[in-house]
Amino acid sequence: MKAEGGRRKAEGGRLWASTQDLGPETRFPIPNPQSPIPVVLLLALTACFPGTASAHKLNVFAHVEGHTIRGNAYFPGNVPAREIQVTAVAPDGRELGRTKTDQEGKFALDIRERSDTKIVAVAEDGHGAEFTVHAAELPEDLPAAAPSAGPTAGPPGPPAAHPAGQPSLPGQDLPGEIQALRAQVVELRGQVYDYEQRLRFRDVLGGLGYILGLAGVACYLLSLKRAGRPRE
Amino acid sequence: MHIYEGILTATTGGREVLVAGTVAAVAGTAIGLYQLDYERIPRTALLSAAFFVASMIQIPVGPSSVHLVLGGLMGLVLGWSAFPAVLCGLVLQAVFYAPTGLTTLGVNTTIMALPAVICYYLFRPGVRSGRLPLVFIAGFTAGATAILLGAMLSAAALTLSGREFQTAARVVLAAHLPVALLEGLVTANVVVLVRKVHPAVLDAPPLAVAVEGLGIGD
Repeated sequence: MKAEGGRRKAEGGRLWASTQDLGPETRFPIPNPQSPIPVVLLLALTACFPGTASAHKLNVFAHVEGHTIRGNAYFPGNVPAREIQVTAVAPDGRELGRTKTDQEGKFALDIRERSDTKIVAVAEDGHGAEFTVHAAELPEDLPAAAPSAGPTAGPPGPPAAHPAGQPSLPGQDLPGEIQALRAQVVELRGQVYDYEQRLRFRDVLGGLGYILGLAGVACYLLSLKRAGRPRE
Repeated sequence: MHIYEGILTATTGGREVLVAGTVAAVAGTAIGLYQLDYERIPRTALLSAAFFVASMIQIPVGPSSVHLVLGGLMGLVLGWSAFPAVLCGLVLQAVFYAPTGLTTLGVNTTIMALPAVICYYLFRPGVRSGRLPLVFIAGFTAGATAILLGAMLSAAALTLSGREFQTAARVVLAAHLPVALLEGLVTANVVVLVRKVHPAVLDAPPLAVAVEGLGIGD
């Protein structure tokens, strides 16, 4: 025991004691008693991977090709979300179409009207994601909204209301160069979307700051309560 | 373990789940806040921070990815105060990342915090035991149970909102089995560590003293 004590003193600066120090029963790394609370270590450990932080789960991205909305659903790390339900929803809540993703997480939905279309993907385990395709991106030869929409739910606006500066995208009859350019823009938008969905390190730090602040507020409120009592 | 807003708002049963989950979360948070005293505030904040960070770190497992929840650990250390800790972490996630929307906040809080409280009552005695293997096993079971209970609550919520229970339970449980294992291991190690280094966190006597007292390691 004496010899071990001396050894421990010698390695006082080390954070993790070797497992032999603490007997054969312990098969996991044990920190020296001087080290901070283990949860702090865990926290520090998890905070070491900001690059891989990409909460939360399901993502869905869509773009317009002619009279079809194409897109893909995926989990963090570009893992395709296979055979999950994808629904197109009009601004007034009507369902415009419904399909399932294929083995690569891709889907295609025909467009029948020109309004802001929300693409909703829902996985079996309850995770879900949304993506909105704006009316301005849809072909101009489509009706503004289906006649069944009724007067209660106002359509987002007649096509004429959109600024004339928006280039019309009829789709198939464009020259090859412009088609290629469109494909690049779609890819770029996908990357921007992916980047937006990615959680950044400063968000994590900000959250930790809020929790620290809330703990401070809680302590302050308790101290107000205690202030009425005499000091011990 | 998050449930997406659209699933629950779509059906009457789902809306009832929303209301019930919110009521449970409010009640749990009230009890948790009532029990919060000076000594508990820092550790509640610490575990809330650990939950907040851990639930956003995706660890790739097979074709998908998982993340830790630390529900068992929160339950063992905090008891009812796990409710405000989880709520706090989820609110911040919603603010920074908006994965689920605010209406499902109550349901999701209950899904993660209620199993934590159940683990507090089931495994706290085991974790405070003087025998190391028992502490390890209690910690592991608490970590795994919290995840599996949460998955079952999740499946129940999906069922009540109009999905077939067996499908929902199978999918949710299959997705959470690796998490339960991982979580069990992490919780067991952290609990053993806490017992040796800072046993006051679990209101228990230090474990290392007992081991050395037996003369092991001489």
